[in-house]
Amino acid sequence: MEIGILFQLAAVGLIVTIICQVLNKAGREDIATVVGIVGLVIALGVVVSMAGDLFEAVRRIFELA
Amino acid sequence: MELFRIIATAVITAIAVIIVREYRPDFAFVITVSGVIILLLFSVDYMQTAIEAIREIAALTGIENSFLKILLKIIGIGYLVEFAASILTDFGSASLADKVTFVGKLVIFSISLPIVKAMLVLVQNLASIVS
Repeated sequence: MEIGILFQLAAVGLIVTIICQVLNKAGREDIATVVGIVGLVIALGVVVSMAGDLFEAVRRIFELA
Repeated sequence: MELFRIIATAVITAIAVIIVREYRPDFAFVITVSGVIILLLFSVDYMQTAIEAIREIAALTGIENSFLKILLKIIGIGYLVEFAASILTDFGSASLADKVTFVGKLVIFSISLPIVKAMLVLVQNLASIVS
C-alpha cells in the first residue's frame, strides 16, 4: 500500500505538468505558476508526513529522547 | 517475499523518477526522497527484531543497562544522520550533508563521554590496586 504513494506522486507530477501546459497555451502563465507550486506543496506534504513516521519509528526503537 | 517488494520499490522509484524528471525536475526530487523513506520504513521491522535480540543477549551478559541504552542511542543517531545526509546529497547540497555528518559525530562523542569516564575510573581503580 505504501508503494502506491510513489505512483500517486508520479501521477500528481504528470497531471500538474499537463495542467501547466494547457494554462501556458491558453496564455495564463501566472495561474500555471501557482498550480505548479501547489502541486509541489501537496507532494512535499505527503513526503514530510512519511518522514515523520520514519523518525517516530526510529525514536521508538532506539529510545532517543 | 519482503526482499522482492524492496527491490521492486527501488526499481519503480527509479522508473518514476526518470519519467517525471523530463517534465518537472523538482517533482523528481520529491519522488526520490519518498522512495528512500519507503525503503527505510520496510527496514524498520527488521531493525526492531535485531534490537530485541541485542537486548536479550545484553541482559544475559549482565552489562549495565545504562551503557546499553547509550549504545542504542548512538546507533539510532548514526542511522538518522546517515539518512539526512543522503537526502541532502540527493538534493545536491553535499556541503550541508558533510556538516550534518560532522555534527552527528560530535553528538555521538558527547553522548559516549559517560562510558569513557567509567572506563577511566575503572583504570584508576585497577592502578590503585596494583600500586
